[in-house]
Amino acid sequence: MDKMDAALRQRLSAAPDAIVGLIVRTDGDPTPHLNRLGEMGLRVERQFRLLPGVSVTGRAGSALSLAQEAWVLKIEEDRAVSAV
Amino acid sequence: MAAYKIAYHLQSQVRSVAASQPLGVIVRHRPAAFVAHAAAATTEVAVSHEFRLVPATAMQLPAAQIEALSRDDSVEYIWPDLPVHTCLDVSVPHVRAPQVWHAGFRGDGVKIAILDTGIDPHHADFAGRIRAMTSFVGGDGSDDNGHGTHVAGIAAGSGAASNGRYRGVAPGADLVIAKVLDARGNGAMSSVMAGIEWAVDQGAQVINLSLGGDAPADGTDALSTLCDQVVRQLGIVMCVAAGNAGPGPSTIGPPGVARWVITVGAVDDADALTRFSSRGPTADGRIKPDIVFPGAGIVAPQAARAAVGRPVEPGYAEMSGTSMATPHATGAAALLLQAQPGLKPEAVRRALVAGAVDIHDLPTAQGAGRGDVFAAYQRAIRPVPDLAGGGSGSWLDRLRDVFGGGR
Repeated sequence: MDKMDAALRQRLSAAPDAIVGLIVRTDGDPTPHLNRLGEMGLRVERQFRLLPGVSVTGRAGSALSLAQEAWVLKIEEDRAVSAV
Repeated sequence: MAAYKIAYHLQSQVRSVAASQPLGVIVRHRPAAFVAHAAAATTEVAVSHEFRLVPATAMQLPAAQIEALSRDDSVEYIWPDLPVHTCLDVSVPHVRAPQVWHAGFRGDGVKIAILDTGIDPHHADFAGRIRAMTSFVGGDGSDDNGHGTHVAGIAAGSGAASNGRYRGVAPGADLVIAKVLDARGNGAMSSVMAGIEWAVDQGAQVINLSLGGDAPADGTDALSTLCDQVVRQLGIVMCVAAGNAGPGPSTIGPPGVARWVITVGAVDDADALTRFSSRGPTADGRIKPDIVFPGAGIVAPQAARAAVGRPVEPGYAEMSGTSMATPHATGAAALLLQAQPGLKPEAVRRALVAGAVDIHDLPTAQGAGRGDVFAAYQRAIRPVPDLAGGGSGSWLDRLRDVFGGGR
């Protein structure tokens, strides 16, 4: 299964230097992988435990590389929400 | 000018606006050809409603033409068509919450989490009941927008600042407050997710999310997935706004599209679905919303630093949206949980949908119908029998089966 949808992959590829905010779901506790995220140039904004994962910001190109990591299950945009 | 035929407030309004400014009026007239006459007089008259039970017509016309209209022999009187609002002292009795209070349940001891723009902790309607508050977008959780305070008041305001007039649905419930939206009412999914984890840690039993993202969506996003996990694995009820992107189909975004949350649309005080209330189905074909509650022109607590809402009287403002409908459901859930402490989220949802009043709209617009808190309470204390003889118990679930919109 693709780790990110085609539209997001296209957006990231089109502007690899753009700074993006993403939610990354991980295979279990993300703590062991925080250093690796840093090495890839991604800043961890929040860490989640009920749905294991992190929110990160960083270059779109780094986010594309993240999809190659075995412990990454899914990558999606950290989408905007608003009061309704 | 036949001034005696024009309501005093309307005369003032006519004098204070430009001659070309369209004004809404209600004209009482003698039966027969009045409307045709008015239409013949000007093409700028827009008739919005002709009443059947009284000889009257609602219309919009330029201010300057109201005087001319008053001289028409067939016209008896002209009123301004004033905006109306549904105070909590209307909407809360309308959904029959006070009957549950009279049975001894006001939400006491039940912890409601409001994840929104924060709360005004000094508003008298919440005195002594805010158990925890924090912020995931800076600051301390104080409301610099007004939306969150309004939402919290609908769910659990005591009405103390209005001598009990504007009481929320569960006026005895405790509150935990996470500010996840900024002063403009905007935020990110990740902030809401962090707020949910915090609310779980605070022991919240019901979580209110009067917020949403863009539609269409299928509920596989991280926020919707987390919501489903919290409901299914942790047994916490979540009530989520459908959104205000109606009336088109498939206009519910995340997390309103999550499978196991109670997704709430909005009706007015006459039980007509509001035009703005987002409609289902979800992108993967499931029926949403689950239920509708009043959400048009609701008067509820106003934050001291409120930037939104129309002030109505000191400490209270009017707002509309599925955001306002959702805390009616949240308060209802709190009442049910006090009455039946072991109730699982699915049982709360079933009680609410089984007790709902059909308002004769599409299932993808009204869900099961308009919530009736007392009917839900009666079902919660005597669980709904499984009429289908196994499997799903409520008519909505059977409807889902028919439409292939199962969870």
